[in-house]
Amino acid sequence: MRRLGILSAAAATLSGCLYANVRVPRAYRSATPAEVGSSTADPVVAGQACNQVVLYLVAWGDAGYAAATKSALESAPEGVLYDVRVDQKVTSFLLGLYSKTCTMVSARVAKR
Amino acid sequence: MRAVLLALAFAAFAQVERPPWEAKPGMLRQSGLVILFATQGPLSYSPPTPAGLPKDAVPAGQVRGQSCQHGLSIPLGLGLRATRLSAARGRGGFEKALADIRGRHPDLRGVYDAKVDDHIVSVLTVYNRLCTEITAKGFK
Repeated sequence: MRRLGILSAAAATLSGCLYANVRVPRAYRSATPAEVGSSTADPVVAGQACNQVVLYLVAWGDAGYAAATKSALESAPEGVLYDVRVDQKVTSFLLGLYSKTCTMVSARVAKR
Repeated sequence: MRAVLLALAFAAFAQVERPPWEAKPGMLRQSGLVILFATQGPLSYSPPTPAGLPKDAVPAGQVRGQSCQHGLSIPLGLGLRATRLSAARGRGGFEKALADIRGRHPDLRGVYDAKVDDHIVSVLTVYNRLCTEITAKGFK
């Protein structure tokens, strides 16, 4: 149990300690249905963007809002997202020797 | 005198619980003996949504801007827990990131639908960089 605690502490303090180049989400004030020309026919889209960490030593990826919303808008790049829900998904294997953290966006798309 | 110094040292290292209504600033974190800390980080920014644009606004496509804080943290020994000598500098806040967009696109009247991300780069924990990146749609 003590070893597990030490490993967990090491994971928390060492993540990406050799090299890290990651983007994480900070802020996104998305539009509400009243603020865009919304209609009931507007499609629902989803997108995600992820960071990965291996062996607590190297971290890379782009899990920012810009990448996640770009992924969601792949089918309608000129559209505007509204009614946006954002979640975070974490997948970790073998005491965190490999872990992946994703920003998941789902929303409706208005033409403007 | 000794008690005052102890109190000051404790205050410097104490983790103060932040009330939930206070915004969380995005400052570069430096540890150990901080010999210089002169940085600016993002706190809050409320960009307009499409409904907040002027009636005569003309969309000008996607624009990006960034601003960065840089930090150096040099260990004074070989162990993982060695004391570090640290310094940080840079204007990495919203004001500089928006000025960066204005510098790249001087004809823009403003931005809307802005997404803000933190770009973190760390090399051996000795060099750290924290950038505020704004990706938005511009209008003229």
